[in-house]
Amino acid sequence: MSTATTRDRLDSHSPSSPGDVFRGVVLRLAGLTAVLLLISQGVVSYLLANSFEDVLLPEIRRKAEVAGELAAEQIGYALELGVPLEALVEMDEFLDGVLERNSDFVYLTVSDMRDTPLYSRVAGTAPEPGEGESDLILPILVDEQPAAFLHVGLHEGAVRSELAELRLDIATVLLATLLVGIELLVAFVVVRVSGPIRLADRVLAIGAQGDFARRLGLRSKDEIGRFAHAYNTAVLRINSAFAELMEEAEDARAVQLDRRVQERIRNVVAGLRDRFRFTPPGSEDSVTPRSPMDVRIPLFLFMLSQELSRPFLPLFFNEIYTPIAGLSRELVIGLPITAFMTMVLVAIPIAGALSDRFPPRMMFLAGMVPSVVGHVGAAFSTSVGEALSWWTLAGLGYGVIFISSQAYVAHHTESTSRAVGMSGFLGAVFAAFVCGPAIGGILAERLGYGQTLLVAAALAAFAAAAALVTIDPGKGRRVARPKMSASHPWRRLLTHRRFLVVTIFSALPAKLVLGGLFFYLVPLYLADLGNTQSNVGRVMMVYGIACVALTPLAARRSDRLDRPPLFIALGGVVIGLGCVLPVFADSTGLMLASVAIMGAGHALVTAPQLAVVQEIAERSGPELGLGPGAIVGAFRTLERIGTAAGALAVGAVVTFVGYGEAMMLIGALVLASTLLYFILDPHSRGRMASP
Amino acid sequence: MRLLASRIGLVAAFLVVLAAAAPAQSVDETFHVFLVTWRGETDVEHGFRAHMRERGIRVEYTHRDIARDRSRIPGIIEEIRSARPDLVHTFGTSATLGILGPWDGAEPGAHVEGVPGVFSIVAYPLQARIVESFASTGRPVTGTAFLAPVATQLEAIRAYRDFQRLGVIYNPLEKNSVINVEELREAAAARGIELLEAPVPLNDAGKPDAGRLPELVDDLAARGVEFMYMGPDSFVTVNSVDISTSAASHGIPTFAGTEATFGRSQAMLGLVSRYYLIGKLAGAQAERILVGGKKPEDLPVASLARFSLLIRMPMALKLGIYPPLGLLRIAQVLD
Repeated sequence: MSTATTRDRLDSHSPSSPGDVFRGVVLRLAGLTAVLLLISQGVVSYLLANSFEDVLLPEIRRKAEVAGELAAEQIGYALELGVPLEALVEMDEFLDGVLERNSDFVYLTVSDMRDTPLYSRVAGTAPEPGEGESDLILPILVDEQPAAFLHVGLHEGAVRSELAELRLDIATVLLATLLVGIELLVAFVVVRVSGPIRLADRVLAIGAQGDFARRLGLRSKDEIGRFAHAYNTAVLRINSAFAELMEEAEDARAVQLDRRVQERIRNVVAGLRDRFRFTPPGSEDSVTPRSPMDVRIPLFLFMLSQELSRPFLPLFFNEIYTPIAGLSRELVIGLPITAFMTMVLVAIPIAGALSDRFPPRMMFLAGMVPSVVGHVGAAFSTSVGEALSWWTLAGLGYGVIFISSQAYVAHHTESTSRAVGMSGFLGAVFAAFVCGPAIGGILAERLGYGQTLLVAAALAAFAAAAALVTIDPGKGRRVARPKMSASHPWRRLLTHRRFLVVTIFSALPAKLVLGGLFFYLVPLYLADLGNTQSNVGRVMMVYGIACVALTPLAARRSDRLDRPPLFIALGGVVIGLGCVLPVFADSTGLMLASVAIMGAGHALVTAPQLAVVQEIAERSGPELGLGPGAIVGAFRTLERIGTAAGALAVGAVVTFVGYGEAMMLIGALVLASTLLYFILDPHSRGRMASP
Repeated sequence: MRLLASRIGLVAAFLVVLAAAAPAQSVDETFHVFLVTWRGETDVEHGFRAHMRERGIRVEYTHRDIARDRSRIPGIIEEIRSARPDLVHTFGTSATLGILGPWDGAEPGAHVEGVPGVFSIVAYPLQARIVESFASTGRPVTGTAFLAPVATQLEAIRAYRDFQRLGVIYNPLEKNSVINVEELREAAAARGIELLEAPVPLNDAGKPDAGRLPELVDDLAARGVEFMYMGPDSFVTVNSVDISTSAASHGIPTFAGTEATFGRSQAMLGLVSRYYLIGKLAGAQAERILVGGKKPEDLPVASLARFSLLIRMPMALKLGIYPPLGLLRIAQVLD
């Protein structure tokens, strides 16, 4: 009869439970959707890109011809007026002006009837001559008769590269919409289909075991809702029938004079009560689906809104740069990024404490206010100082929402399914991490920085609306949270050698790369290399892809090999090598490789780092007087300090050296600290002893 | 063809400006306008009439020509007083001062009063004391400004061809011209241009001596001027052919600051307000007074948004000083 046993039964996960079946269904559904979307969008995109080629290319060529003809006409006009061909005035200025207005012109040459060149100018930003170049010869007419020739060097490569850029944009949008589509589909299926069915399965299983004290708290108007209604009616009737039976049994017992018959009736009733669980009709305990996935759609939308600004944030701050006393330009640009992360750092423990008292939905919505206001404020900022305060506000919102989402997952999962719930939570974060920068880059290029920040604010507001609809307004279940405030054991943790080694020599450098290089330097460097904003976003997307693709793989490998320190060292080396790649050349291609390698390195180190910290918690936790939660929490906090400090640290470095050199220096730092980690971690050379 | 197109484009641009300036309105009333000219009807009067016609305003005109003879002025004033027209339009500084008088200290009974006045082709209305200021005329008279600022004129010459020494011949007795040379002096100094001034010597009758002009040109040429300048100066305008041709004989091009001077001379380059467009602008001012019911004292002196760059191509070819290609696109070229 105890609630605990029923709760256990509710959580019990039999091998035949539909959970596995549904995982398969969801996966297949997602796969099928992906394939269908890919095919349909792919075909449309392909046709679109080709029609660009078919329609635009001749148009662009025609435009070049018209521009060339216009120039030829103007020269012809001067000749017609009587100016001798060899005495045309200010031809250099004239030709330069034409070249400036037509970026696809490589050169302009005016030659006489014997084709001897008289005036010639080459475009200042001339692309490499040779490839894809064609010479357009236009007659310069005087009284309808050719009097000279204008040679126009057309660079079709420039046109083609514009088209290629357009194609890349299309492909990026395709990929991003694919991810968004699948993300939303999966969340929808889980919330509306598989979650309720799983719940029904569990309640039915309990019913099958004879527990009729529970009803399905599903009120949807679809088949599942009707099914739940039918089941609830059946349970109600069973309970009514039992109640009637009890009354009748009591009546029967009361009229029996034979004590043995009375005894038998009592035994039969007791046996029934033993084998089944009944409740007065109408008082059945309503079991509602507590799906952590409810938070996934609003969280994904919110994270997406936050990632939009990723590829241009430092560029935006650079654009509105105004001096702040005593600080270099590079530091000032990094300031808002560090302020944002610092606010996240500050908001997390506070929001964590508050989330015990307030429902997660309220927290989620409350966090949305500073985030939206911060984005709108930053969009209209005209100086970094102004943007700094708005962006700090946005950081506060981010921290609160991050924690309230996490709290929601914790509140709505049982301990056994929390890992699955958290992976759903991380799924939303990662999906946004991949799509956000690419979409943001394309938006920024077309709309501008301020407008894109406004789009981000609107998306965040939309996420709030989604939260209103999907998130359960209640408190959920209270979860015991590790207390982080006890300073005394903290200090002891900071004397724990292995903890310090993994934190200082692995986690901090890795986060320095994330916060300093990825959030701050990479966009600046890529823009400096002449990349369009869309391109910056695309390159940054590669980081997310590498990270997402390798994280589960790396986690599994590392578990199997049972040697996390080795993986940490390997990951550190990979990150470091990624950083030093620009040693070869300042090129976008190398940066792309560098970003991908850094992402892969991050995927390699994340899970093993946590494994090491958890091992420390298991081994030394009791003696330090700290629970595993507190130790992991402390580790995360220290990590976030690294992320927050990253932009300022790298900003300080690039005050003195170039972007490429700064990356190399950071890379060297990562390699050196990785080496130190490998030397200093006592477990790095042997297998981890199983506890 | 292209030339024509560019001209039409330029004119069209002005028309748009003018049309936008006044609301379309047509009234049944027929207005009576006195047109007082200094030396016969010009494009200014044609432009004025054209504006009224295009706007559908019925106007009955009385044209009186002073014909450069100041003694005719009192008679015209008498006629205006008795006819009591709705508006008087005057051409030039002398006619305007003669008919309407200065804004301050006008002798009672010496000028037309109680009839709204609009003036055109007054080079320096402020200095001539026709208006108190451009923004607020201080009397029931308004008008149009027509000179391009001297600085803009110098920049226009420079756009054609860079130069260091500019020569100017002017009548020291003409107020307009003296003011113009003073402004020129300042603008040239600011640009590091050396201004060589040649006031025309007076003869025994105390009038500027046209016979000395060739000598002045020769002297300026000997001193190395690269461009000859002709401003708003009646004496120079009358003798502009002589000045510009004798400068050309030394291989020196001439610049003209008004259409009248450019038109009758052999100047190679000019930056001017076209008289026709000035006339339309004056018409627009008149429309505001007659139809719009505005008081002239509330209407600032109007000026065109753009000036016309004129190139006399035969002279450019003769001198071998060809216009830059970029300038040909915006200039009006006279063959």
